Amino acid sequence: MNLSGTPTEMDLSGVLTRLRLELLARLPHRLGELHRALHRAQRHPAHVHHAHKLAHNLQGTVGSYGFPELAEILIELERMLDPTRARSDDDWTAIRQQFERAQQVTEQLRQE
Amino acid sequence: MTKIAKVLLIDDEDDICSIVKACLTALAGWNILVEHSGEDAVPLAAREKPDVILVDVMLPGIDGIATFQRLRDQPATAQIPVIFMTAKVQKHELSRYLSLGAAGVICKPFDPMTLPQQIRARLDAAAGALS
Repeated sequence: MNLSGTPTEMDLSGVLTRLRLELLARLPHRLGELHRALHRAQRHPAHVHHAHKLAHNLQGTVGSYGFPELAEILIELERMLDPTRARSDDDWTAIRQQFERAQQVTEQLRQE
Repeated sequence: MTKIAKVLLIDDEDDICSIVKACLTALAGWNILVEHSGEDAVPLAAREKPDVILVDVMLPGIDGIATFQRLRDQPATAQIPVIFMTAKVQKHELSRYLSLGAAGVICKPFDPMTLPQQIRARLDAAAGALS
């Protein structure tokens, strides 16, 4: 940090490492929020907008933080939650499986 | 090259705000203002007059497009370049944002280490298109 308390290029890598660790620590909570939104959306299709928005935000964030594998899984999940189309029971099974992949990769990242 | 000293970032994702602020401050030395909603950002932009505004498209409340229109409608902010940041960019959406008068679009996920160059490139391209 310089005298004004803002990060300089020299210590940016330390700041980014800290931000990445903080995001990893919060990811289970973020995924829990998404899991609850998926449950609500399956019972009440009007709620799919919220689940779609959560997946959309999360994929943009994890990708920008340098977690491309997790971002790809969430991009696909966002696509599966497209609010403009209806979903069958099979679609919801695929959505749950995709969500479980996101959980597994998150757990791997947290253990690295 | 477009001079940049102050940037207003409008995004409801705290994690995106943190990484953008850290990188633009450290790599470019810019002063970064952050707002989480379009409603709060429009009056802030009028007061602070940033050199460029980065706005997420999918904001809660008034979305990024409506925020952009409000910025264009008030004289104090009508000329400030606006760059959309979005994880939702298909070709027709990109064309739409540019046709509205945006200076450019940055796709999420983005590479935070090259973000200052990406912003400069879009501002320079927009300035070149006008001249």
